[in-house]
Amino acid sequence: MRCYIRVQAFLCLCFMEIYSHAQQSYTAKVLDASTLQPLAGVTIRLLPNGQTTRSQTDGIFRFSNISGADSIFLRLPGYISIRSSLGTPTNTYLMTTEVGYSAVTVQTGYQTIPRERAAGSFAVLDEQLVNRRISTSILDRLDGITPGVLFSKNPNDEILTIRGRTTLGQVGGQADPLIILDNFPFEGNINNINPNDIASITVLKDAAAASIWGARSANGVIVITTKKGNFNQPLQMNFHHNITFSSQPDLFYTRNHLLSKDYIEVERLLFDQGYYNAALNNTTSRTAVTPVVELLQQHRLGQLSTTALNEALLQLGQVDLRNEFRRNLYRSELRQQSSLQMQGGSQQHSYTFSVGYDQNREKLVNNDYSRFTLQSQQVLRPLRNVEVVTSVYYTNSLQNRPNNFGFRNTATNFNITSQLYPYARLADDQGNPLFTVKDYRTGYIDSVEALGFLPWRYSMLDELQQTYNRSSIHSLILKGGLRYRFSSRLQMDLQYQQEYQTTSSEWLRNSDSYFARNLVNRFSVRNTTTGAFTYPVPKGGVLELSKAVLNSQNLRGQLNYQASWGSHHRLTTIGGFEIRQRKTNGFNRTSYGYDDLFGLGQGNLNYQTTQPIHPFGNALIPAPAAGISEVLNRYVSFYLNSGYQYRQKYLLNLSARTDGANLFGVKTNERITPLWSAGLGWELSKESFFSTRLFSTMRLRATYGFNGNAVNANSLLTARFATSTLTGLPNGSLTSAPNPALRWERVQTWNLGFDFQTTNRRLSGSLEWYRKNGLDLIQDMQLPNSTGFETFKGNGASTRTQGLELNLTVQVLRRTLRWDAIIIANTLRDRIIRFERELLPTNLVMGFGDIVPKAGKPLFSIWSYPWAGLDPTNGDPRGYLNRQASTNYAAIIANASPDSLVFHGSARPTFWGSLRNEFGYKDFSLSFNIVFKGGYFFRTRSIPLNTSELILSRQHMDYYQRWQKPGDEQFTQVPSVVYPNNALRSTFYSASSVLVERGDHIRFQDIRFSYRMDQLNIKGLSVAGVEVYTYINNLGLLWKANRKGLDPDNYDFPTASDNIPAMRTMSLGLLFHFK
Amino acid sequence: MKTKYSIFFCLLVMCFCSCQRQQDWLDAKVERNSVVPGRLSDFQALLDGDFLFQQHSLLSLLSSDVYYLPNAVYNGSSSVFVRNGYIWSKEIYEGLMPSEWRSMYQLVAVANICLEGAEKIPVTAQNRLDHQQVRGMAHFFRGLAFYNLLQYFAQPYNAGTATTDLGIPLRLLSDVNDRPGRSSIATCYEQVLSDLKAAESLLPMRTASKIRAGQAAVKGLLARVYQTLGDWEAADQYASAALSIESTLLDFNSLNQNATLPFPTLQNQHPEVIYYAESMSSSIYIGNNAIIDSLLYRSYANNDLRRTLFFRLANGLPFFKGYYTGRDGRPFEGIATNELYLISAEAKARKADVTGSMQRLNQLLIRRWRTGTYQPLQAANAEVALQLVLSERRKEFPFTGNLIWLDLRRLNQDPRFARTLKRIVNGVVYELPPNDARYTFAIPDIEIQLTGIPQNKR
Repeated sequence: MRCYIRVQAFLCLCFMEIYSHAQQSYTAKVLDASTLQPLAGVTIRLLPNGQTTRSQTDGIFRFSNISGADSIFLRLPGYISIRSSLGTPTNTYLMTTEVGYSAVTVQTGYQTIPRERAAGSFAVLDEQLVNRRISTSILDRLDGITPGVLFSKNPNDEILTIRGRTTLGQVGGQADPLIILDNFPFEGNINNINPNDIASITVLKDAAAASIWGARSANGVIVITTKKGNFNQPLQMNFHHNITFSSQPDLFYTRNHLLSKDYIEVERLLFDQGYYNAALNNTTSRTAVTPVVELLQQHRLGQLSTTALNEALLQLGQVDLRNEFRRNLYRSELRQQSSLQMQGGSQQHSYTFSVGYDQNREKLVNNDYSRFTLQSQQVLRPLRNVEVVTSVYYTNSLQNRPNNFGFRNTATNFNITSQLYPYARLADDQGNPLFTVKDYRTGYIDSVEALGFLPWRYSMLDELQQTYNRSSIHSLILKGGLRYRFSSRLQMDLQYQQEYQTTSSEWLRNSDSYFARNLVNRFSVRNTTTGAFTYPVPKGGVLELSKAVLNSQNLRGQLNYQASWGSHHRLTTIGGFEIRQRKTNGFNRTSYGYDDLFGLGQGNLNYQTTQPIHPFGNALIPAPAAGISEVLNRYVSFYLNSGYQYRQKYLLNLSARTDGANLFGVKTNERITPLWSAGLGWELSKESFFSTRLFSTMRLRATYGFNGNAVNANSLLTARFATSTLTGLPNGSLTSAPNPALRWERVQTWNLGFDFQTTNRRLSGSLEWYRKNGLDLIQDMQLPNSTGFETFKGNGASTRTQGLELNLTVQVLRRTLRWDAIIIANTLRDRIIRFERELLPTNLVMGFGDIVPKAGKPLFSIWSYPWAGLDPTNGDPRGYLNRQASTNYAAIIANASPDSLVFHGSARPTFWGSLRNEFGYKDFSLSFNIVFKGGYFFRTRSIPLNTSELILSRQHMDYYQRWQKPGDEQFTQVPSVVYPNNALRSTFYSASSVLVERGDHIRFQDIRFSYRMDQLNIKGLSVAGVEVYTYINNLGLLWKANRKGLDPDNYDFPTASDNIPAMRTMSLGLLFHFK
Repeated sequence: MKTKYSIFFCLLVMCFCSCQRQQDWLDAKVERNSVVPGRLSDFQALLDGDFLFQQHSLLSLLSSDVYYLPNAVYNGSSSVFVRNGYIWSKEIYEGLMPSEWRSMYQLVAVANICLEGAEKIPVTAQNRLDHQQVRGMAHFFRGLAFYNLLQYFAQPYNAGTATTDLGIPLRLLSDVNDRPGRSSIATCYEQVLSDLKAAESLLPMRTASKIRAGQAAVKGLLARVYQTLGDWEAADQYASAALSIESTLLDFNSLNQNATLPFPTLQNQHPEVIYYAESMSSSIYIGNNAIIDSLLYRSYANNDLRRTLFFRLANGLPFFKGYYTGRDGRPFEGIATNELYLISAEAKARKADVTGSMQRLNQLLIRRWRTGTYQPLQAANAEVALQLVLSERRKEFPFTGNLIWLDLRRLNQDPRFARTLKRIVNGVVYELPPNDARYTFAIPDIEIQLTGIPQNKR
């Protein structure tokens, strides 16, 4: 792309009028190359002495003395800078805008095409846009600035969708877009790619764009291209450093919390009801109870006076768990990123070399991440018609995560499933770790510790010190290519890539960790007469090692044919084959009794016979896994892609591809799938009848075609094998019921596009309409349980998605102050057309934005039971039964039908977009982005209506709004909480319409402010440019539709480890550009 | 120019070659540890699957009368099976799938797959034993599963109406599109017997693992089936035949009475177990929740070691610990020799062989009592013998899988032994009279919706 811009700049310079100039003073004018309007605010510098001036509103600038200067440099943000020799004095300079539509090329991973010769739908992010955001991951750079792309913050979803989803599952990443890094699919961890190495990102959206990628293109394709050197280019160097700080994690945002005093109140109530009797009377498993219950029991047994009890409870009631976590387990993030990049080339050789280093301090104490990347690419041209390309991309990242104690993460639970009580103190005032209750009663631990058992108490802060959990990734991508030019028309490309990624993890819970002590204690045997101990699980740490290796190989042979006849016909054709193999394997092993000092573990444990354990029962020592896992995917593809242009007005694109894969594993004809697409383009503005001078470009595009999606399902009855830990026998389990008719998923896509640009370039943009029909989509078909299976995979579903995408650039001001507004707006309407299974109403109302396949409704939708308010006498939630308000929950649920339920709408945005404003004043530029999402709903979570579950599974702030006495129903919609449990009452409430909210919101996403200096001369070192910038992200919501003050993007998803909103971050960065 | 074309030619050849080889190359399997079962060893591995001997039943024991729950425990329970099963509600599942239906039909599915798969493999001199083992085990599982399903989802066997009473769907094909309706109870039992007799003709005398059935196991199961059918001649014949192969009894004097779980686990080889299976676990079995019926607890004599090996006292209340699985909260649901002694004793009593009956009973009980304290039982007549056997049966099998439930259903047919079960929860009295419709569980709603088979009345 750069190359293209260069050519344009050169052409513009040719228009310069040449005048001779004898005086020492110098006056000239600078104009926009296409509109010939004067340009104000252009920075003009004389070289090498560095004298600077600026053009006035009439475009004229003046130097009083130009002695000693030999060349001149002109720069204006948004335009291509010009450097020209003063030897040929001129009085008019023409500058070409960077945002020129025709300068853009698209990368498909197989070829590079000028945008105007592609009828398909592409979104292109150039280097400037890629670098606008500061992030560790390359994908984050697309968020909010790419038409058609929607990011999801729900950890259950795919990270992003391109024009919605057209597959029902997300098993093995089947809904993820295909990511291409420099011509080949990238299979490794996406964080292996350093964003600083990236020159551009092209998103392929429709069939004509993506069908070249065949059976894996249905979810869209993201083509990432790294920076490259050019032939005959002097050495260029870039150094980039930035540092990002975050605000303190806001633990007070979470609603999954009860204040200690109220939690204690609930515990007292349950205690009086006898809820804890079973646990308190338990003499076998000695299940833990909270400190308050222990106190209440002591009080009941007369060991504690009422005054002392109340005093102790008052003390505990003042503890706030959120503060404990904030102080001891959380911190603000700090991320640093540096990179150095060099590129250049001679006549026979071009090269790129870059190194990058990232270091992130994460929000949980003790957790960090670092990444080192190294990239090098060499292109040799030993002969006139031969090019040899070699490249290496190496990444080493290290992730250190001993702390998994996110707020309300299950790791912080006690008794495995109970949420930590809110009066837990993690450290005393001096910061010394304090114990919290974990698995067993304190009295039991006291009694056995006195007998000589290992200490059996638990403290989270100690665990951080005793745990070592790190994983490192080594990734190496090697590439070799040979390009041979038979003639100016025909060219052959052979490319080979090998990607090798090793992920090794090391998880050591050393001998003082609770996990190791607990395991040793549970199995230890105490001789009751001598008091001596033997340890079937040896004392020491527990080390778990795992390793996963990914090895993918790609070979591609391709012929490129390019020809023009006369001045009217131009043909570009590529065709070739591709073979891919991707193999992953992995294993893990466990060492007991591990001593890190000597690296010794013990292997001769008795895993075969059950042994008595403490406090009660018997068990097998968990045997370490002995097997390895291996997954092998193979693909063979043939493809052909052709573009024909007539009179630079009419355009025809054709593309065809067949793919074969070792999926489905049945009949050959089902294994290979042919996919094709066709596209037409019409350059209206070049027609003679097109007389308006308002538009310089007007183009219509239409495409149609098919993309495929390879879902890893099996058409045969398959079983998975393992060795049973219980019997030691080979053990088979059936994985899927057979379906011999299983086929690939296909997506049929229509795309219509209209591109335009006004002659004065004030307004440019494109409008696209698309329709995607998901065909033969694989779904879980329900089977009666009497078949031995619950579901099987079948091609029973189809979907339809359609939408509009508008991308508009308005140049509002073009004076000294420049102001561009970039508007991106998307609509998306998706429907399930067919789904061969009738979902029960109870399935419809479940879920927090999951796929709810119901014909005629959006893929992701929110349903609920209609809400009839609270019963004024007892605060029961009420639904409708035969149109009457009712509390007969069993009947409400049993009699619900899709017609009687409330259908709210889509659970994913049906329109979204952004408004980005870019301001430029002299060398300053300011950009801020406002994003919006709308037309969707989300289900909020509330309290469980059963007192015991409130304690056990979900503490929640809605507790404070609950109905308590008649009259409360006027102020609240939160029902009363009851004991004993009434499961259906709680189920009904959690799925009722009162908990559904609109997701619409407007967010002030980010601001970027930068200052740029050009042509500096620091101590003899010529610096071509310096940029200093600051970037602030996650500025906050400007508006939200929901009544509860929730951020729909940060709302607590059931599986999220904590639910802390994205922290505001501030980055400072420095970029040096040397020539 | 020549070189150019030769390169071009080579490229074409490469394309062509790859077409030829493509199919072989794409035949590679995706996951290394998964396979399309086709060999006898694959089928054997399926039959040895852990899930085939785990999670057999839950509701039957929860609905039995050997235990009761204090209000606090009942109120604190979140399981619908406990909350509804305990009080014999008409509606139990609340949308959940009972393991009785799911796990038994899984057994049937594996059995059908193995039978159809084995049929395609020719029998040779080398594979004959393996072949028989696979087919024998498949028939055994199918017979066991159909038999158990009949005990949960069909009315108790009544010889008079068995040809018209609705049984269960007899799924005999692995094809998931097959939709058999409910056969009559008589047909179902014919199928159970024919499967088990086929297994009897195929299975080896003894097996390497207790999760596989040998001759003693299949004969023992046949004895249990005939006991359900009231065919006492056959029941005794099969129980005795099984005992002639495997009659070992565990001398309870050899066990540690203070142990928290006194009986050996599957891995530690319980000598009485001849086929190993487990029930589902429930949280109320663990800890001090399910209190043993005091009448039952008091029925054990002081020198009866079962009193201390089966139960532990906490705060003066008895709780069960004597799981034959040796695992806390996991009732045993396989076949053990103690059951064979009791089936034989009952059958002999029913046949008026008082001496034979008492002999079997005494052989068992002498291993249950403290050494030297056991006084052999004697019965004046068959009626007394039967009473003795049945009362010992109840004492031998508290918390043993579904046996209590099977006995309740079976013995309710006889007015002499019929009992009304009663629970009191939060002051409300719940009763289950003999032969009540609630002795038959409802078929899961989803099954009714998908197959259209008739539902049970409850």
